[in-house]
Amino acid sequence: MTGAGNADVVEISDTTVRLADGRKVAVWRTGPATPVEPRRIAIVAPGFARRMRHTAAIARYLVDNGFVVYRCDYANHVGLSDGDIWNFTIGATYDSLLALHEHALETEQTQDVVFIASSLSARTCFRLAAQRSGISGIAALVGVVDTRYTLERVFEFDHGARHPAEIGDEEFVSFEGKRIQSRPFSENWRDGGWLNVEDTELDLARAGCPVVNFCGSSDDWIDIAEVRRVFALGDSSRRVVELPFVEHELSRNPVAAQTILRELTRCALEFTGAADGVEIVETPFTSLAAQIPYERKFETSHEGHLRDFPEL
Amino acid sequence: MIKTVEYELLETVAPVDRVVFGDVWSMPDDPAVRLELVRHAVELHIATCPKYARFAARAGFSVENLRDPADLASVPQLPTLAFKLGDPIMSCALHDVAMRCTSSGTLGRRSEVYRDRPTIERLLGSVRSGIELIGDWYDDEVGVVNLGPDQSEAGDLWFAYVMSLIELVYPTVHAVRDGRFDPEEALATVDALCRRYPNAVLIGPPALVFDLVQTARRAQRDISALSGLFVVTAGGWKRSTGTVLDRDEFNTTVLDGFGLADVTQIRDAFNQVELNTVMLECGAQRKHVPPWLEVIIRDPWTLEPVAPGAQGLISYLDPTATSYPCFIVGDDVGTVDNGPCPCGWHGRTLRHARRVQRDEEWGCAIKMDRDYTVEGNGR
Repeated sequence: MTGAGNADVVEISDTTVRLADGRKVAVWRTGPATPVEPRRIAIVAPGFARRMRHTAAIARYLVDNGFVVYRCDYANHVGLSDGDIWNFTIGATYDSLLALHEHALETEQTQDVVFIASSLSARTCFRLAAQRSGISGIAALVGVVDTRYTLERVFEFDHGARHPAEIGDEEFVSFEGKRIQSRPFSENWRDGGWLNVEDTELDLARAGCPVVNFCGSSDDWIDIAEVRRVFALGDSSRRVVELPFVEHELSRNPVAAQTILRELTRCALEFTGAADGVEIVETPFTSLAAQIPYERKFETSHEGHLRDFPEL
Repeated sequence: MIKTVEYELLETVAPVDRVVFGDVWSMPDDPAVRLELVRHAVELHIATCPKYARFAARAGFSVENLRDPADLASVPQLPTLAFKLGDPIMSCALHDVAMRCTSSGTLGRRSEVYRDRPTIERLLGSVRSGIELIGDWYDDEVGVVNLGPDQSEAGDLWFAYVMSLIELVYPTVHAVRDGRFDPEEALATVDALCRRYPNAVLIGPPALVFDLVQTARRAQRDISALSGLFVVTAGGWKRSTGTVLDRDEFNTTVLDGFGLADVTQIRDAFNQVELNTVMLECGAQRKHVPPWLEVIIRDPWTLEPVAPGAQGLISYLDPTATSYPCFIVGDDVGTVDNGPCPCGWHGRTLRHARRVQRDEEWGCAIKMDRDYTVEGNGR
């Protein structure tokens, strides 16, 4: 049995990094073994309940345009890293991206990287940019600025209104059939400064790099007016790009996604000093059609407990 | 100071994409929407495809005449033979072609259809919406066994290529490797995926599925894990030997042979290389026509539209193709039903009665039957 034809894939090299508490975070690197000049390094941060392989298309676009790309599955999340999404916290996502950022800077011996961050992960990247150097820009895709607003729509009730002390040990919230234990999540949400939009405003005010947020006008999970308001508090290096008729789940519309991938790539190139209006190398459909199943197969082959099953 | 940038490429989220990639089965099946989508598509192809522009001019057609959904019947439609003449019909530049797609004809009468990326993405969108008729699944909840080769091996066999694209959506194991199909190995994979995933799907030409059931019976395989399996057939019901598989017999054989819980787990899909939409059956085994696709049933002798519900030649106005004018008169006879479907989904359903009789009929399923099954002497 075969998986994808591998004639046109960019191969993954994988490793792990460790968090301070010892948990392992699975990391993928794609791109040339030795970066070409000018050195362009990007970290692609998947959204909530999404894995590294779900970002195959944007990672491939970036590689085809000269980037070395790092990705990780977050701790206490879906994917290859330690921990289960039952114990999900936004803080664990932040910790994972922090560890990946350190790893990328050290491994590539570079001064800074570009972040491409989807949805909820964008919020943690705003914090990273507020607290750390070594980030030349953040291009957010449907980036969340008000986690309480978004998660109220995701979970279909205002979870943020409940104090953790009111939440029982066995209570959980569900997303796409996956359960998350409510109280630890809620505690970290509040104590970590992720709950209120004012914290986002502070982080963005402190962030020392350009931040662009590509937002869909048909996104029910993000209030684009609120994004505009929050981004207006920053300087001119904050930018909101509106995408008419685009919903939160961008992969649902691959024709629109192609345009947005191109613009995200252009944005990332500009963060690394490329001239305005730089020509973008368009990744062919056949390349994406090979890369996506290749990455799924690679992931499956690295899930130790699944090794007895047929190769996918 | 905010710098809000209006997106400069607004038109890339085209009206047709809002339908194809929207909640297809929840939106109204509105002829007025189809009129707008087809009008845009006709304008595009008249502007970018000189062959179609000349064809339309000879027919005395003008886009201005498209004012009412009833006017859609006046849109010039190409016979599928036009794609078999070896002279490409294209509405895009050659460098924009992502895939040259050919039918399975083996005697020099293959259709050639050139698809650019948006055209293929929308075709894939129709596959996704068709799968939604089966189940609302996330990509890690489904395992697929494809009784065909992977993309790289599919070559120019259109249905094999379309089936291989399922691996872009769900984890997929391809059962044909290096041109060989091993039924025992395929059965073992089906069994493994049924045990591993909440949902498992077997897709393939009816003849290969039929033979797989026979193999399972002969080997007296344990089928206890297969009760929830979904079986999706595609490519046509005629075998390479000339016999036509009977649908009711197929249902019974597969239901019993795999121990399926319900016959609604068996679905057929329809497509032909010249058409850019794949239509899948619902639980009532009716092929639902998605809201963007105009289907016109015509009298085979006069080509005039027949009365609603009457049988005739099936023709299509498919606005999802940008790289070629997908306004075609097909090779099948059938009917469109506008009435409610027992499955609960609203909208039109399409029933294929038979193929138009031709001297040569090399459907994709026939070729796969010939190449990969015992009866077809493929091994």
